[in-house]
Amino acid sequence: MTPVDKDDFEDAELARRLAAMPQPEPSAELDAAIFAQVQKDLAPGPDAANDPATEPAAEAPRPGLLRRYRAPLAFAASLAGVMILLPVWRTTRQKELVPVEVSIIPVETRMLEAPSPNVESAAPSAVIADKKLDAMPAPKMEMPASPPPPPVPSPESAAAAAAAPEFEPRPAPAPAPAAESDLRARQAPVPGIAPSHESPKEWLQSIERLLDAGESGPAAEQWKRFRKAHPDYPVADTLAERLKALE
Amino acid sequence: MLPDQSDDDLMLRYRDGELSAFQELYRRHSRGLYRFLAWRSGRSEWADEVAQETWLAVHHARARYAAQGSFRSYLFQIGRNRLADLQRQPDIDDCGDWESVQDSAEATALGRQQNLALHAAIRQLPAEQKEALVLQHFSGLSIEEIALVVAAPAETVKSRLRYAMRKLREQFRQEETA
Repeated sequence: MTPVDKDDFEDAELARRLAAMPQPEPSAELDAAIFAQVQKDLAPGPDAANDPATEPAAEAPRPGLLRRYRAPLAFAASLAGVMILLPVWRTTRQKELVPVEVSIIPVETRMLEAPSPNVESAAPSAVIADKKLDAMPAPKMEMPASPPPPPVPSPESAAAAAAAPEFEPRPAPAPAPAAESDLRARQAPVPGIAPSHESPKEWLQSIERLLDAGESGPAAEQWKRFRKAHPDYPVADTLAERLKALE
Repeated sequence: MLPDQSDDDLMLRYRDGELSAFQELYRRHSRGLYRFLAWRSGRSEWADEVAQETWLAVHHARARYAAQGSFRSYLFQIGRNRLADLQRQPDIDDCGDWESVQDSAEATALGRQQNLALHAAIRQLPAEQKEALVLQHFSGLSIEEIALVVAAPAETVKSRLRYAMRKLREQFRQEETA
């Protein structure tokens, strides 16, 4: 065995003896004291009777009343908000409903003024207006073949129309062609000449009946009056020839 | 499972308030620390006092603990510094009263005598050599951990251990020849 091997052997033996030496150990009281201190800091709880008095600064601050009753206060605030806002909302809604009922009156007035109303609406107020219109007598029309132009709205009716936009009438029809507008202009009687009870067509028919009856004089007289009243009204060729013969 | 976790992981969990993590750390290192303090101070009451202060210092500094892979070195450094503070007090007698044979009532008469001789030989070692020997053989620290605790290079620690073992070996030979 070389000196080095001998040293290694002795070191191993010495290490074994060192490991076998009795060693000091911490007492159970020391362990308990350390654990108690650490546990007290980690999980603070109610102090035992034999615990040393803790400083007030070391105590955890108690939650304030506001924080403690945060949830109930929030619920109460929400409830109060609902109780305050609900009547306000109801009042506002009632105010919103009133103008709708008021606006029916001018709409009805506007519809009654129109000879042939053409209202397109599914609203209940429009239904009421239609029923009232049905109860009214139809206006007399001089020229049933072509509807007269809608009357120019008065300032009051224009304001009422603006106040009730939900009862908009149908959009105005596209402007008629030039020939149709000429025909309407020719059909329009000259004020003070045309009889108020006859249309130009009926008037011409009465003149033709006079001609058929052989009453040329009255026929010529009526023809002259007709031409003054309706100078541009078209006349059938056969009738025009017979009337020319009278002249 | 806590026993499978590293010291640093346990320390981080303990920092977050987990008491069981502290208990596991204490179970692993309380004996080694206490042996080191008892051998180095030579007084059991000092070992108790410094051991308690050391663990409470770890407890109070847990929020500042930075995991660096050697909780044991960190723990032993605290204990060593605390003990040094205590030993610097002027009215302290550094002569230890702790005897390992006090706790070896079951040992045989020969073994008790051998332990007494070995105990005396260790106490006669220079402080640095004794410290390295105790940390390695009684507390189970590695060379690197001892180097961190005593703030010396690892080669210096090896040299101190080598000299300490040589002196104890000579003592061992004298016993055999006697």
